[in-house]
Amino acid sequence: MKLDVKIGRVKLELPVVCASGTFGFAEELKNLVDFSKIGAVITKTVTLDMREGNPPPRIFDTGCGVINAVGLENPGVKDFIEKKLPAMRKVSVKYIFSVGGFSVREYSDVISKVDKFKEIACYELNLSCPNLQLKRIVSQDPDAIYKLVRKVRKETNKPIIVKITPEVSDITETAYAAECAGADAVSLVNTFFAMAININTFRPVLGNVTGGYSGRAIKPMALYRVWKVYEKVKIPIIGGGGIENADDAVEFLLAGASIVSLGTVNLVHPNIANDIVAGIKSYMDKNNIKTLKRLIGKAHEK
Amino acid sequence: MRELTIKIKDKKRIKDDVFLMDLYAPEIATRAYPGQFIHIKTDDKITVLRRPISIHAVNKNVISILFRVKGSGTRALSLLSDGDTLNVLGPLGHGFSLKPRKNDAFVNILIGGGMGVAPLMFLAQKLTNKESNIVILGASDKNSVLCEKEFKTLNCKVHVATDDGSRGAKGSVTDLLLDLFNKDGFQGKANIYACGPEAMFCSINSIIADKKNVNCQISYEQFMGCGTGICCGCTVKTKTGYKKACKDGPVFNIREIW
Ligand SMILES: Cc1cc2nc3c(=O)[nH]c(=O)nc-3n(C[C@H](O)[C@H](O)[C@H](O)COP(=O)(O)OP(=O)(O)OC[C@H]3O[C@@H](n4cnc5c(N)ncnc54)[C@H](O)[C@@H]3O)c2cc1C
Ligand SMILES: Cc1cc2nc3c(=O)[nH]c(=O)nc-3n(C[C@H](O)[C@H](O)[C@H](O)COP(=O)(O)O)c2cc1C
Repeated sequence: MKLDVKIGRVKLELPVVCASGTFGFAEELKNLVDFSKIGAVITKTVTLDMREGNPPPRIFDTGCGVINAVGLENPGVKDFIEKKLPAMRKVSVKYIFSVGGFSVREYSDVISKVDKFKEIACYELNLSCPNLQLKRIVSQDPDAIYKLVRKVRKETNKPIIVKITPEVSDITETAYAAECAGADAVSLVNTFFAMAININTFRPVLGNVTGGYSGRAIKPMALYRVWKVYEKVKIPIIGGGGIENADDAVEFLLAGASIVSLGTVNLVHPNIANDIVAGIKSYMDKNNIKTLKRLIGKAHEK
Repeated sequence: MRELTIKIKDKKRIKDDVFLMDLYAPEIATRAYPGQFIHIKTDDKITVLRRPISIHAVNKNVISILFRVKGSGTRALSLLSDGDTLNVLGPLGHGFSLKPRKNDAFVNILIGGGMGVAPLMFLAQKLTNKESNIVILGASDKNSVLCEKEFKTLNCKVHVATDDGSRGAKGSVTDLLLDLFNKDGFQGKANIYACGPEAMFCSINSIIADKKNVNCQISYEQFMGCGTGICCGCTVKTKTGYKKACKDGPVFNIREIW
């Protein structure tokens, strides 16, 4: 059974990808993971300059989800090219490069520096970074998304995936803005705003006070957003949020995701993509669904 | 390394809320060294992430862990029985570097505050010259002192401090450390290996601040995510910037941090 799927011109052999920030640059996991069962790895978000990230503690387990405030710690594009990329070449997997920035200019700058590397198959624009001019995150503002994606579209011929925040009143508007601006796919959801307080110390748990919520707890909310966006846009959706097993993944495919993304679960079971791919296949077998296309969005059929 | 499913050979409750568990894990036992940890996922829906627990001791193919029930993860662990399995990653982390000194002038001092004794037993097993190893254990009262007998069995010289004085000296482990330096001095030469609460590290640091020939390695805890260096969750602030407790640590030189 073939499960390949396309983002723009780029073909992924499997519809399961590892979400940004939960798989490093893949090379760190080369002794632990079978990469042949992963459609693509989305790298940790890289910004123009290195960022040391937020003060600790940065991660908290609520029991049904994870709040993180890593703060985009990353080596910056120069060190990425010099130190990470050579190691990434030794791992045989497709890479989607996640770009972050604090202005439109920064996204273009980063892409112009890495565009020549053939190891990078596509870009995912992480539009959940706080924008210094907008004073909020780009992916909350359809106009800002449109402008940014238009600009970046001119920098590269590689497919562009736009990753959007769930923290908007209508996510179909922001997804649609990305499509209109020429994005090849949308990726949702990024984390929900969240926090936790330690009642013994009277203080917020995270060093950054607030963070982003992911994992099991957000699955129904993420699924809802994928469902809604599927009804609005024609470009493929990379859908995820709280996926832990093949059944969860199938739900997202039925809701309209062409590709599912695994995030928090990778932190616990780095090899889980293997099981999930196998589970999707056996689900399709059991239900006599011959192609991935027939599965995607099937729950919308009346 | 890969995800392992390992079997619980023996679980013992050794205090109200402290458990000792023997796990059959040849792949970990043969590769681990003191100060490293295993990252445990219990099969439940009340935790999302793994929980890091130090390797307490190694005997042939069996590793032991010693843990206190703090919240849901450690409670789930404590409810398992002999024969049940655990999903673990490990051994993980950068552990203690053992300093075998030909020159006997260097004495090893192991300091465990509360649950901090956990990683020190494996260390005591590995250190040579056991007779000259000093172990300082701290606890709130006589009922919470951990592993005193076991360290003695390894021929370590054991000192105990309790907050209420119900066993050993009244006071803290660092009071005892200061005493030892004042009385004996070790010609100012010692390797300290410590694990315990942050306040304990702080006092140790001030005691040894001016002692050039005292080296001190500490096992430093932080909330942890993946345990493999991927998620950047378990950051520790050091003098040279942020480091990862799971990869660069959990063992750090105390002077890197204070
Ligand atoms: C490298 C390493 C080795 C460890 N080895 C041992 C060991 O051998 N034996 C042992 O008993 N414990 C050990 N710990 C601590 C142990 O991991 C925590 O107690 C455990 O994760 C708590 O999980 P829980 O689900 O039971 O509690 P939670 O419900 O997660 O938390 C309960 C309480 O503990 C606090 N807490 C949780 N995790 C940490 C942490 N990492 N640092 C500080 N406070 C925390 C929370 O603030 C909360 O108040 C180790 C920690 C690290 C980082
Ligand atoms: C520790 C951690 C770090 C993350 N870092 C990034 C990041 O750098 N860039 C990004 O676009 N998303 C990041 N995310 C969000 C994930 O990629 C994913 O969108 C989100 O966690 C929801 O999926 P999940 O519930 O499967 O984890 C991070 C998530 C976690 C838990």
